[in-house]
Amino acid sequence: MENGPCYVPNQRDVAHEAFDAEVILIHFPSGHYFRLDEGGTAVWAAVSRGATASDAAAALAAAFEVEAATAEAAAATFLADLEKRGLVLVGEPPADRPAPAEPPAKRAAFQPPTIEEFADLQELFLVDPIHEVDEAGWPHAKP
Amino acid sequence: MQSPERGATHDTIDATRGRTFLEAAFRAWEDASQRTPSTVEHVRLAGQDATLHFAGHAMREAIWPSLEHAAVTSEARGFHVHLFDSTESGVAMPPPPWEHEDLLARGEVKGYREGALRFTYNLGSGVLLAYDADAHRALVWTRDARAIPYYETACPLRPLWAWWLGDRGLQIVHAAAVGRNGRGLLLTGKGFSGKSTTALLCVEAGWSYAGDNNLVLDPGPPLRGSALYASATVRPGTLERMPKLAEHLANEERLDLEKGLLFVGRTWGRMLPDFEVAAILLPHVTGEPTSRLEPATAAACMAALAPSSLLPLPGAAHATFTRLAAISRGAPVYTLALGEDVGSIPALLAPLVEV
Repeated sequence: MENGPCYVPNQRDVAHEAFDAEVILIHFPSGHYFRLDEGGTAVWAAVSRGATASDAAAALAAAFEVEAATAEAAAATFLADLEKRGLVLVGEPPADRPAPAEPPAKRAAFQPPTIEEFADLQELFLVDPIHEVDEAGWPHAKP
Repeated sequence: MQSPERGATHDTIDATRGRTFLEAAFRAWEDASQRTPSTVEHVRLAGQDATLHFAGHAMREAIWPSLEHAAVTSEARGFHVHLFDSTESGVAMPPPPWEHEDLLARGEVKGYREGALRFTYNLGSGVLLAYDADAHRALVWTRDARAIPYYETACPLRPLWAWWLGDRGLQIVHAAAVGRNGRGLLLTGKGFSGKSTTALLCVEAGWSYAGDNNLVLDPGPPLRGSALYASATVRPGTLERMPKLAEHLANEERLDLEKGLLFVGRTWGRMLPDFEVAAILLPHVTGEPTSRLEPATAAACMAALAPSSLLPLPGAAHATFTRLAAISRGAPVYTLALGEDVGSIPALLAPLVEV
């Protein structure tokens, strides 16, 4: 492993699930949820094992046709974004760190990894009827 | 706000104080059951048996219409829920062991969000729920059951069912479902996506109904669903599209303040108590002339299902997220683009539930 901080999932606050070329995450304290695209999914797979920026860049280079410098820059930007959103922590790699998955036989055209954030929780909370009452309480409707 | 130090101290004594409060609350229920006419109802939800012990009429009138579809005659061996209110019984609820600032989002109570003893107190509905997992019992109280709002009547005791069924590996999700021949379609998505309207259109076309907002799912495999409530709540737009529904509303005189409340089981008598999940549909309203189905991914299902299922329920966490992922992978997923041809939607969906 290269020197530098090691990024790991914020297991306390975040639940995540990989589906083929996407990852869905929920950050419980904020209630925000996220979708990672194919590039984000490649980086997240590395982060799930504990990854430095170099590891994340290598994961991108294994999955996409991309120059090393481009992959390194994209990985660093994406990891910083994940950290800013509270989705990863900088910590020690797991002791039983698994080996990276086999890279795909054919590498795809590179797109920088992206994260899509959904923060429309007020709408979602409409299914919780407490939000249908105002400060005066039941049975007054919202103005 | 409560200081962390006080919170930490509070948490260390919660178990004892919570138990003491719960025992006092059950004594209050015993007192109420002596003072008011009591009734007992047995239900089977997702194959799990529970008995509701009502002290007084008012609580039963508020709670039972949405649950009566699940009534069974045999006495349940499993879970016992005791319900009363103070206005009818004249019995006060003892003071709780928490402060007002300990009440969190979704009615959760700090210090009692997980573990064997859990409480919620929803400030909107005024309903207190206490769940004692070890003793397989629960207590429900409100000050005046006649003031229970329509949304609690539509979906009564939801956190309680989520705890109890969740402890048995079952998951309550935010979805509608309708079906035929023991095969059901889940419809999940945010508010205004067309779940309830689609479900009720199918019911009018002769399909059976399993709910418009809350379902119980067994991730399996195979993925199976069960009805939780026989109610539906309808927005004005649905009533405009389906004006005949207005004849069956339980709260027609209060539509200026409330969504329309409909007891589908009573009105049509076609409930789908348990079913194989044939497909999961992600509806959205397009405004286009025709409706259509298109294949979608399990990830799209997870993105639609997880937030609206996780966030409204107490105690939602990693285990729930994992169950929702299994559910999302458990059946074919389609987007349902809802057009203006609402009358043709049941026919569009029918091939998905053919045996």
